[in-house]
Amino acid sequence: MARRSRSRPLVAAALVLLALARAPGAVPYAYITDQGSDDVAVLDLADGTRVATLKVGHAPVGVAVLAQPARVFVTSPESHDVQVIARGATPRTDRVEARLAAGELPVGIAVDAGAARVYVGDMSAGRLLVFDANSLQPAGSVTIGRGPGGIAVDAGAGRVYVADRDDDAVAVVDTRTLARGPDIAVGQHPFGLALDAALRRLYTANVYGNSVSVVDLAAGRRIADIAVGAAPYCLLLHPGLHRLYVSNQHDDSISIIDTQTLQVVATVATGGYPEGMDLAPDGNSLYVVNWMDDTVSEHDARSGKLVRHFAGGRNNRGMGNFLVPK
Amino acid sequence: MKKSNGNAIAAARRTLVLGLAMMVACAVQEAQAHGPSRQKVIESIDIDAPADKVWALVGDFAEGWPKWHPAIEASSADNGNAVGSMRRLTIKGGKFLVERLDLYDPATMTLKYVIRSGDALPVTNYSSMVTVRADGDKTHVEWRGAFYRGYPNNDPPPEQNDEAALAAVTGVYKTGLENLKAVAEKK
Repeated sequence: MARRSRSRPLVAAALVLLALARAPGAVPYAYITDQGSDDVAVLDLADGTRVATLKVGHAPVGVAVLAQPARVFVTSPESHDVQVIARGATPRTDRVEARLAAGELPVGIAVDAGAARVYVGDMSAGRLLVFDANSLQPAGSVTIGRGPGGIAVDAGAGRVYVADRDDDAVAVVDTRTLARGPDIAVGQHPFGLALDAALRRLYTANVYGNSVSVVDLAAGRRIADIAVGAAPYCLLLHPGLHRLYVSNQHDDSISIIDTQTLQVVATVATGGYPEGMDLAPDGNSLYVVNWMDDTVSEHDARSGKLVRHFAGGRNNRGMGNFLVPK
Repeated sequence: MKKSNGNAIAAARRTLVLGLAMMVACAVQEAQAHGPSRQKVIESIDIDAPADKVWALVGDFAEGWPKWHPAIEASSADNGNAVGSMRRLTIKGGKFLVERLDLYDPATMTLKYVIRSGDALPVTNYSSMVTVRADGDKTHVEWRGAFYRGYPNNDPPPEQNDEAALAAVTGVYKTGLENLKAVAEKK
């Protein structure tokens, strides 16, 4: 026929992208915070081998990864500090290169790679601390709300959000001025936080509300609460699949939400007390850190189905981003 | 006569004040502030008795636990073994616990509950799960709990620190499971 389909090149491009996405890339390393043994277990997720154990501070929880310079940051609330792991050519040559004093009870941590900033939430003092990701020097702080937990950096909008657990709200901070804007009210006891940059939304995991709040960032307010499992804790967004995963600590499961319909499309079994989660670079798998079982479970990203468990570390938590590509 | 009545009244008043003070001090457990480090205890035991006999003991959340746990003197609940039922345990030494049943599955012989109030354990935000599993004609029971120490902030006093919480809960689970075995194995 004379008329050439306009969609054919788009279909071809999509197929190429799909093929690339499904190409078996190198499986990443996981840097797992072990709250019960004061260390970080580095696992090769190809087969679960523990390739390194790095002594950090006391009762580590939060973790964030920086590509350049190659570093992993870990919060150790009970020693009131952040450890900076300098990554070597392989994890066997990783070492803790610095300890940063970080207020009273540093828990949540997030990195803004573009601005070379590390953000740390002080859960006891109700403050957001900022460090320079290159020099590791303190770069300011601001008082926010009570019980800061999860942190999400909105680099495009020049803002950072923090779940203020004991205020049932999200604090909003301008990254350039460190000025605090009005809080956004969400559900009960928000801890986990995830930014949906494409849809201009923020999601909170409300531990006491057994729900996920959906915040419309343009409107600056909550637009929905989605019922999930018992004691939801951390959140993980899969932008390519428009899926939000929620770890339900008391149900030993993850809820999977379709972010286009805001419906729970699946609830899938994990190990005991699932907490932190991260997404493999190829988008095909997510990894869930199971605090009760001391394991990391690998799940298929589309179905959520548990594929296998790996041995983790004592009271492992993995709150934040913990995957490092090889 | 009048004097002894006066003493009795004063004693009663003291008891009432103490009781009220204790009630106020024992804040509702579930929504308490807590520190960053949750603790866990996992204990298990193998019992030479059929699983349904063990479940008959463990699975009676509402009233059955005094039959096998040495520290529990009495147990009553407001809704039997239905999810949401609140039971009150009278614990040796004049202490108590109020617990809510959150999961009850006779098919898998699993139950989960949380402490809502009570002074019997130096913990906060305590949740627990007991599972009974048939192992041939024997039974494997696992009791696991997650909780924070009694004192939520930094620098806790020794009787409310992590170690005290772990020791207390471990003691409850170990003595309970050992006596459950003894009771279940009785011919």
